[in-house]
Amino acid sequence: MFKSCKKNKFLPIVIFLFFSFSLFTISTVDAAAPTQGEEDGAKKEDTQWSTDNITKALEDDQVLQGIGILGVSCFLISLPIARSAKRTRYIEDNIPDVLTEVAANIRSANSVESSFRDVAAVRTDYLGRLLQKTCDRMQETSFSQAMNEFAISTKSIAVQRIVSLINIAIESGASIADVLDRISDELSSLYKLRRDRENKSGTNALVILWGGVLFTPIIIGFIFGFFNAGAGVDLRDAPNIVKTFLLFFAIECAFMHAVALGTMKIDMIRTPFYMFLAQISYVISLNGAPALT
Amino acid sequence: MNKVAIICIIIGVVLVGFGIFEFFLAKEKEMASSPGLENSPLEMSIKADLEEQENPVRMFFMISVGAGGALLSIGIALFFVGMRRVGGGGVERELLFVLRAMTVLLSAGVGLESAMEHVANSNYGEISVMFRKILDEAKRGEYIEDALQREANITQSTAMRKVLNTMVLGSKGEIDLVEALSKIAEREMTAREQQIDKFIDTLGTRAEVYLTMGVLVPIIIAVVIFVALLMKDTGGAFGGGGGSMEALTKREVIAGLLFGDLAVLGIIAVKTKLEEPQI
Repeated sequence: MFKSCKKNKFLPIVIFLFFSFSLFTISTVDAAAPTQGEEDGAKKEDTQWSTDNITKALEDDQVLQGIGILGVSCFLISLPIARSAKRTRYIEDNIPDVLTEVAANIRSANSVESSFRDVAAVRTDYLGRLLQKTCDRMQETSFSQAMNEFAISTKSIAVQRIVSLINIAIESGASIADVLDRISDELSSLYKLRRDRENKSGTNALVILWGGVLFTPIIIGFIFGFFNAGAGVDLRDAPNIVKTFLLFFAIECAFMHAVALGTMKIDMIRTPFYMFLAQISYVISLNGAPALT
Repeated sequence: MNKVAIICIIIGVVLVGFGIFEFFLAKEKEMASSPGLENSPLEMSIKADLEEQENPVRMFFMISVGAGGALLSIGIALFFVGMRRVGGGGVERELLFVLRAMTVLLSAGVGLESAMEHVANSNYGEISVMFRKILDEAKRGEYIEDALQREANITQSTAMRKVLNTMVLGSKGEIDLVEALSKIAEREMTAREQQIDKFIDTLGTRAEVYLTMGVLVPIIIAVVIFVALLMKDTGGAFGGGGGSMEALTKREVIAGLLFGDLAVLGIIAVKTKLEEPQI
C-alpha cells in the first residue's frame, strides 16, 4: 500500500492513534456537554462544545472540504504509483541474489537459459513470475531480446543497466558466471549504501512528517482551544492565522520527509493529503479541547 | 528542473504581488471610508460592517501571500538544487554506478571503448552525455586520450576528473585500469558512507529544530495574546506595558511572525536538500 511497508510500519499505528484521538474527543465532548449544562446553567450553554460543534466547524470550513477532496484524491492517485515503486524496489533488492544463483548454476555446467529457468522455477514471488515469462520468451526470441523485455517490464533503470552489462559481456565472449558474480557483489554493496541511508534516516523522517502533520496541529489546537473557550480568552484571528500556518507547515514537513528518504515524487503527490490531515486534526482539536479541559 | 523552478518563482511572485496589491487596495478603501465615522452608533455599526466585508479580503491576502511565498521558496530551492546538479551533483550521483559497471566490463575482458559505449547508451545521466561526446570525437578520428583529457579539464566534479585522468593513463597502458578504477570506487564508497552518517546526524538535529519551531512559535503567540489581554484588563498593573504588548496581538504581527517562522523552516528544508548525499 505504501512505498515501503518496512519504513512505514508506524503509519497504521499513527492513523489508529489519530482516529482514536478523534473518537475520544468526540465521545468525551458528548459526555461532557450535558454535565456542564446542568452544572453551569444557561449562561455556559453557549460555550458548550459538543459533537455538533465539531461537525459544524467541519461543515462550515469550505477550505478544509476542498483540501479534503483534493487530499483524498491525491492519496488514491499515489497508491498505484507507490505500489509500482515498491515492486521495482523489491526486484532491485532481490536481483543480486538471482544473479548469484544463476552464476552458481552456470558453473555447474548449465547453459545460461536453463540456469535462469531453474532459478525462476524456485522463486514463487513476483520476480520469479517475471523470470518465468522471460524464459518463455527466450524460446520465442533471442536471449538478449527476452532479457531486454524483462528489463523494461521491471521499470527499473538499475535492472536495465544490469541487462545491458550482461548482453555486452555475452557479446564480447567474457565468462558470464564471473560477470554475474561481480555484478551481484557490486550491486549488493551499492544497495547497502541506499539501505543504510533509509534505515538511519527513516525514524527522523517519520518524526518530522507525523510530528508536523498530526502532533503539532493537535497540540496547538488543544492549547488554542483551551485559551479561546476553556479559559475565556479572546484570541481574535490567531486561530485562523495559525490554521493557515499549519497548512504550509504540513507542506514543509512533507518536503523534509521526502528529502530524508529520497521519495520526492510520492511525497509531493501526497502533500495535499498531509495538508488535509493537519487541518482536520487542528479543527477537531481546537473545537474539542474545551470539553476535555 | 529549472523550468519548474522558474514557473514556481514567477507564479509565486505574481501571487505575492497580487496579495499585497489587494491588501493596499483594501487599506485605501478603509482610509477613504474612515473619516467622520467614529462618533454615532450608526456610523460605528457601518464601520463594523465595512470591517466585516474586508475580512475575506484579508484572508485572501494571507492565503495569496502564503501560497505565493511557498511557491517562491520551492522555486528558489529547485533552482539551487538544479544549479548544484549542473555543478557536478548529478555526475556524482551516478559516478559509483558507472565505476562499478566499468570495472565489471573491463575485468571481463571488454575493451575501454565498449565499456564507455555501454555507459553512453545506458542512461547514466550527464556521464552518458559526456561519454557519448568523447566516443563521437574518437569516431571523428581524434585520439581517445585527448578527448578524455579535454573532458577532464572541463568537468566541475573532482571525482569525475580523477576517473577521466585515470582512464587517460589506462588507455596509454601506463596503469592497471581495472585496479585503479576499483580503488577510486572504494574511496568514493567510503566518502558516501561518511556523507550519509553526517546527513543522518544533521537530520536528527533538524527534526528537533523543526518540531520545536513548529510547535513553540504558535504557543508563544497564544501566551503573548493571553498576557497582553491580562495586562490590558488590569490597567497597567504590571508596569503599564499593556500598550506595547497590545501591538503584538495585531493580526499582521501574528501573521508576520508565523510566516517568518515558515520562511526559516523553508530555508532549513532547502539547506537539507542541498546537503543530501548523492546516492
